[in-house]
Amino acid sequence: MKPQKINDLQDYDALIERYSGKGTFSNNYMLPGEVSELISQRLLSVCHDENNCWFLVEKPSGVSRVYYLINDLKKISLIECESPLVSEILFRGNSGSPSAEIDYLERCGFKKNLQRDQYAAILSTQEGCDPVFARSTDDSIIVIELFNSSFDKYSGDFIPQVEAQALYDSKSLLCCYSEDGTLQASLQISFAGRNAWISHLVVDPKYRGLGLSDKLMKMFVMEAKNHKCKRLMLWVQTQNEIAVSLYKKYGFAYTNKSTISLIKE
Amino acid sequence: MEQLLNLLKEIRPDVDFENEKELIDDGILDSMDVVSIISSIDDEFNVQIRITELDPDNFNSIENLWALIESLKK
Repeated sequence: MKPQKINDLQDYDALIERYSGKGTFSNNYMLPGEVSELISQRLLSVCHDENNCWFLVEKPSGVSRVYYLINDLKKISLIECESPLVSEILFRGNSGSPSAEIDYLERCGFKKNLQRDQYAAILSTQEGCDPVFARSTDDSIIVIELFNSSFDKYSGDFIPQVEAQALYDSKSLLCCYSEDGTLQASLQISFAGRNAWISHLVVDPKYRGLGLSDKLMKMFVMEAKNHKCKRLMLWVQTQNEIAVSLYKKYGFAYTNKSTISLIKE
Repeated sequence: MEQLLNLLKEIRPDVDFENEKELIDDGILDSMDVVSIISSIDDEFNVQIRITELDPDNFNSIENLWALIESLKK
């Protein structure tokens, strides 16, 4: 199946109408506003057969994110696409892993990548400290390189270098520096409504074990308070137990929401 | 409405649905939550909310969501 560009929101709506029903397996959580934006930027494609439909979104990292509506788990679909494909399945921790969908995607040539869990905390009495921001655009570039080399590029973590200036201007990068001015660690903070998000947190491997994550968390708490946020949010890889125990220290608890990503290269 | 409250708490046990009135505007619920809620409402109440016709304001509070379900039942 070869993906075709979607040029009109009505065409997308018609596909949703045709392929959605009770019992449809889907990981499509795109809302109308986001879909319109993707169509206007010519980033949304689709391929479909009689019972199954696959939407592809081109990401800045060069991968295509796959959203599906599957009604026939026996029909194996092979998508012809030059870029790597990544599909992320949302599931609730108290409902268990989405094994039918994982099994189906594996039969379509995807391989399990990683699992992430969402955590949230109410902002209240957590200890904070004065934030230190990236000191220059060059430092922003160093941070982006640190993030991109530490995180999985398939799961939406990739940051294009062209964003360095914007990250610097918006004071989104909380940083730890050594006395000689070397950048040691950074946390990217972002805001959505009254939520403060930890978008990325990395300590340069050379400076681990110095308590820098804890320092960044305190800066994060202070910035969230400065922005009058109510809630702190983050996604973390399930197996990253050290990070999870740090976050729990700041009141974070699992929101019952996880995703598992699968990739096809 | 208690049935709806239980459904919402099943999806997001960390959220105080009885007191939060800006669930979307405050960024408490994201698109993943909204789609999960739509799917669960379909299962529990046999009411279909079309994602393509979605008005985010209907998800700002449990009262708004309940009003939407009631209107779709008619």
